[in-house]
Amino acid sequence: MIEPGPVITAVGMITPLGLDRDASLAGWRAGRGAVGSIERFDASAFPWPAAAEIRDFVPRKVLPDRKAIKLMSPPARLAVAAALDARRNAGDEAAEDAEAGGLFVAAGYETIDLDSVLRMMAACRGEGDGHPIDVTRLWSDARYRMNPLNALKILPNMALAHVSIATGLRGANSAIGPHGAAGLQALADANRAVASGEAPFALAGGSDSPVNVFMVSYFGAEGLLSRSGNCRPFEDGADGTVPGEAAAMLWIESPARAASRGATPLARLRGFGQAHRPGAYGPPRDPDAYLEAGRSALANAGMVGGDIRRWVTDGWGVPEIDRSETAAAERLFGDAVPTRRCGKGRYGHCFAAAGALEVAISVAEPAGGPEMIWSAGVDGTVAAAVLEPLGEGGRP
Amino acid sequence: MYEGRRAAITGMGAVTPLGPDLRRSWSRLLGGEIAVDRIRAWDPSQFPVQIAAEVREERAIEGLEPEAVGPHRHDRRIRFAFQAADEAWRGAGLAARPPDPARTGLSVGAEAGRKLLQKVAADYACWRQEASLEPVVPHIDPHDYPRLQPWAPTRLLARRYGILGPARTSSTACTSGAQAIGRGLQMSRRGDADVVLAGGTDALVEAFMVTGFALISALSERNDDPRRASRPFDADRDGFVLAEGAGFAVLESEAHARARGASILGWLTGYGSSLNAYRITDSPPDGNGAYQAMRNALHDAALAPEQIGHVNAHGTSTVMNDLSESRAIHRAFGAHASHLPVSSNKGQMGHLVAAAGAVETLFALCSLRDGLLPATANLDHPDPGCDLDHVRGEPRRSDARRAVSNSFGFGGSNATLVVERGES
Repeated sequence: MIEPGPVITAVGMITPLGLDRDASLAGWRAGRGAVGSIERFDASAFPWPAAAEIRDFVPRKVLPDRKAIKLMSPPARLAVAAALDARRNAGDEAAEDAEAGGLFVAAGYETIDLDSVLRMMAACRGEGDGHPIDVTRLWSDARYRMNPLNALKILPNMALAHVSIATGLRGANSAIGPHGAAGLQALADANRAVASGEAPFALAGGSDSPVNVFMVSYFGAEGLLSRSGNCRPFEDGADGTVPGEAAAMLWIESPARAASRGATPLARLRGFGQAHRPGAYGPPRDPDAYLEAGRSALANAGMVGGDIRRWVTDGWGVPEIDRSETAAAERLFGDAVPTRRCGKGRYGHCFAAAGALEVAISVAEPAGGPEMIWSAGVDGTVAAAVLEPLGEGGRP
Repeated sequence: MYEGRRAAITGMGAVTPLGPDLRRSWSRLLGGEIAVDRIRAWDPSQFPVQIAAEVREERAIEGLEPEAVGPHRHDRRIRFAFQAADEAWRGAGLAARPPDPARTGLSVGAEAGRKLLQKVAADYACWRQEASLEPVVPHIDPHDYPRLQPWAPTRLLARRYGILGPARTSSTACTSGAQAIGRGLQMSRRGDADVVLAGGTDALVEAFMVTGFALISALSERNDDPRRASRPFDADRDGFVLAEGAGFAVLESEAHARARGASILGWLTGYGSSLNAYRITDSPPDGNGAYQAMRNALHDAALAPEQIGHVNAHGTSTVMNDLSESRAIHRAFGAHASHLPVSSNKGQMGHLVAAAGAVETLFALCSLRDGLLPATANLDHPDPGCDLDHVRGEPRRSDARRAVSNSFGFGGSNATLVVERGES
């Protein structure tokens, strides 16, 4: 159960719509879309042509330690950029007791540092067809082609480590996931850590950069990616999602701490729930999974369906999943299905960042009442959160 | 308040380089057996590091048949996780009387699947040569992506035991297993689940990781004397020894365990975590991150330093870790540190990375149960900078009631767990 106390006082983000919170929100408010042809790699052999890429990000202009940049995977770079944006937006005094600050990060990781590994593997090619690599030659023939820190660069917790180094936050922590539900899980962990006193404040969120050969091949083969290059959740003719790059981090602290430093509480995570369907790989197609997660989040928040003013959908743009989600919403909310918001048609599915990104946008663009946010992962988890706007954001 | 903050440990299981189950692993640990040897899984003769602690004895269990785990049958992470979790699950009596699926949680510490990484890299190698993706596409097995993920063991364990409650995967390198058990404790405390299966699994003894860790001089190169290669806190230590395996525990709320008449093997009473924010390769020499984790765990368990009777150290056998951990133990326990027995299990079984914290926490509980603290192997000449009350030579008799287990990882994540002796 989530304790109700902590409040969100700042958000930071980097998205295909913009390189920080303000630019992203300006893009969102202007109705801009960022889905286009994949440029990150040569995708001409794939039938899934589109992605929402972050194209103008120059890490050395944003990240403080230029030497560290080469040790960061793309999701780690985005996570640090969003974390620094959140800290900037929270105010200089927000991290005065940084050492005690919690850090909960759901970040995609570079499953493989392709350039580095390919350079190494090319040096280890054996003769003949079939399995062409002789790994026993890795050291003798290929070690000079490997960055000595490459083995660490690809560890899944490196985004957490780099954000910690960049921000100085050293308290309770976890690297979660990474999958589509992990961003909301990270926020739930942070909320719990602050509510229980484990940390006086926490920075939490998600980051992902899924525009690579591995993820496109997998999600495409699973039938989850759009062949038309358009992500159109809940629309007739929808044929899949598109991968999107993003990171979103939220500053969460106790109301007392926020008040003591004069920070304005923007919103609060009132409830969190999740359900798990560990069947075949892929997001659950079972409406009951969304329904269970949503009911659990409502119960956790002490609310009923009628209290929800806006439903922030998972909205993959995959018809089967969209139908499941819709069926679950109709059962959860009854005759009063709230207003729906879905952003994946504009910034793609940002996987480990998705849930945190939706929360960040809702914090900045409140609905005037509680919101239900859903996010599912290909590990079979559906996470749901109830976000309650505070202050002026809470006004209808 | 305290009663509700502890979780009962009602099942334990492990597969380690020392043995195919917890009973034999623990017995051989006490017996002084050493599992570090020349690598047999592949030919290491071209590598500067040719030693590891491999799991060479596994148990046949239902569900590891190829048709049950499909393409995962080659993933040693999955095999180890299934064996260790099965031992814990059955030991807790849950095979005969399964818990409510929706009230059962799962918390797993795991890294990526590295064996497959080699295969994936091989598939893609032709891309570089052809300067085009087109020749690669026929080689792509799209399901390599989910198989590589840290959460693959979580998903398969959930399916195996029908777990429908909260499921979490922690990937914080060498701290993963300890963090997973700590998160399991938090799930239990919050009432998110009545029963939580928690632990860690890893299998990193493969060429790519050996190359990477050897390049940063993290591994022992004592190839001519493998049994003496891993020597935590010893003045002649030269790095850690890669190992593999898994450890899992069944955690329950006290009320749930008592209501079903489960044997309570011990208690998990505290969890603390911290980050170093220093460098991704090293812990800070002053041991601050490790100190914070221990301090937070003691605070979480509402214990004074003097109430701890044993430290199962991370003790990797690297120069920096052992120095900084020693300083951290002194800082966390103050004057009590001078007569607080410290053991590291890694001298005998190497470093199980994402599984290390889980297995070593179970060993810490076995120590309390049996009143025997295992010795740190190969600790012939303790480093003067590591001036602790080391258990050396033979296991030491002890009536300690509570112990801490430390885990510190690449990337700076640290975790400490507090365990307490059970009732039987």
